[in-house]
Amino acid sequence: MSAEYDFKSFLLIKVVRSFVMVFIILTIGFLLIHLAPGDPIEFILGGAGFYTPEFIASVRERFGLDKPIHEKFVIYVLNFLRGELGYSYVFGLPVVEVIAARVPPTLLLMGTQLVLVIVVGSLLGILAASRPHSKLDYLVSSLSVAGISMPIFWLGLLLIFLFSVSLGLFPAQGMTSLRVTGWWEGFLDLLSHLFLPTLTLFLINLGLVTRTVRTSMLEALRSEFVVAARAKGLPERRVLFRHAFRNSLTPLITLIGLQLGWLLSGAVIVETVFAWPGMGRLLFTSIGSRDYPVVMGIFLLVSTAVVVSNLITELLYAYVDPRIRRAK
Amino acid sequence: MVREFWLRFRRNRAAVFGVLTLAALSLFSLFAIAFSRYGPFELAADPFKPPSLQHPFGTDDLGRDIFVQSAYGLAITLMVGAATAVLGGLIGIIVGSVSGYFRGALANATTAIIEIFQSLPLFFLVLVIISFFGSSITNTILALGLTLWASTARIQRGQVMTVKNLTFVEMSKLVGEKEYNILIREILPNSVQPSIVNIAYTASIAIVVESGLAFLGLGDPRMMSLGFIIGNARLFFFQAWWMGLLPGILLFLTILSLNLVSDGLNEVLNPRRS
Repeated sequence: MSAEYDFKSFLLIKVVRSFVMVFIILTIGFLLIHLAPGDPIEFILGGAGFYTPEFIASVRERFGLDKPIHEKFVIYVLNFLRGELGYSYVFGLPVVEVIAARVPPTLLLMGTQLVLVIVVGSLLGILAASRPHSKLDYLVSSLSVAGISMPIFWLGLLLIFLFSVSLGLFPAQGMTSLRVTGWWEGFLDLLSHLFLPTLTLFLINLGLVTRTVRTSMLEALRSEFVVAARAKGLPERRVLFRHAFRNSLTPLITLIGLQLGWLLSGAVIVETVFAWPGMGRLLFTSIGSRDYPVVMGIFLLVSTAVVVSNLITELLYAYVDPRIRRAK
Repeated sequence: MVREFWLRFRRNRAAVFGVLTLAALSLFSLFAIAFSRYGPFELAADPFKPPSLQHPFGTDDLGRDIFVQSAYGLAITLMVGAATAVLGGLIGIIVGSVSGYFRGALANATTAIIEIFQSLPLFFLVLVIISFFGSSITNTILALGLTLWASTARIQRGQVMTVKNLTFVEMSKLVGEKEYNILIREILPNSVQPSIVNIAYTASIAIVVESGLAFLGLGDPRMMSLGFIIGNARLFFFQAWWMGLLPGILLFLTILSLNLVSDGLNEVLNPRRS
């Protein structure tokens, strides 16, 4: 009973801490953006000077740019609590709407890539660890380091050159073609557009997963429960996949959970290289046009996602490992 | 101790390859800059010239020599990596040591700050800082250094917490050694190795982020950077493949060597982890 109580208070502490984290991130982002030089009014009007001062003042008032910074902050926090992130200077639409329209493409890209990376990376990691110091192990390990070290935008360009320019197999830009009709044709078209950006992210992140799984598999294969499983005469495949791999799940969860911010930053670059209409590309274009509310909204959304995924990771950890659950 | 370190380090052939490659890249950059006839922004020949003896990496859309550009870019890339590692490393070791050694409010506050910085999405934060405060090289290094210290601090904190309870530290306390001396002379030398490994990894992350920013056009416009060259090459990739290919290989080799060296350091300095 006391263990259950401990877990509840553990949960409560973690959740409260996450809320505090989000608030701090909100503050940091707000301060950064608003203390920075540059006047957004120029970007709203598209080059001031042709407008009367009265008109400029009225626009300032309409966007709330005339208020002092602490008032802006209070308004911002209150709006945030109501789920409002202000209006985009460029699109004239609510920030939430602007961002929401760009989330599905990013999720599609990240999701496809993550599933592939986890499955293939785990298999390669298990294979490499099952024959340590073999040729296969060296090959997998070398490819992992190479993948981790590859500049993502450069790899993207190489793949475009190979698959689009030289072979003409896959489109290099965008998510859909304009002249495609019918849902089946549309689906195939989407897949062919998805191929290159997914492959780029896949090749970059594969090494990370492979290395993690390999390291924890090696550790597990040295441990007593694996020796016991082998002594029982279980087939090697079962020992590897059922007994030893289970031990790699926690590091794998940690990797994915704690590296979400890093994985998403890869998406910004990949989306820019491949003109993928997702959130990363929106962030890039919004920075260019000083669309403060959208930049802030994306920063906030990504940070919150990172905090939430850290929280889930910690809770999964605690759920899996009672030592952490009790240690608070 | 240095000798012993080297004897163990050189057993890792990949790490030795990394050290040699980094040395070769630095020398290449230094000599190419010292003996080049043009500046990185200077027009050297006709635009879009493929690689030749005179221009080993070819020329870009304006006729600038990409070999010279790459040499300058490499120098900047290495400098950003080193400067960030030093800045972030110092902050990390200081904050981590303070957080691990002392108790009470100071420890709680520093631990909270470390945790906050670890939860911030680094690339996005740097992107926001750079784009709003201007993309000078100083801003880039500051933004990277001020965000990339948290992982080092966390590792240092854990190390100090372990070392401070060891017998020899307790002994010094009993003998009446000053706290300051204990921290600097006894705890720091015995706890800093894993942090050094992490700082080496930090340098490669800094280079990855810096080149990514420069690729997106958010680098210092007055400084040539490998990321910038590749970003520019992207626009002309269909007509001039060489513009991005060779600078990309240099960037890849730099990051790869750094990662190999870090792995080697990890094996020697951090035997528990590997």
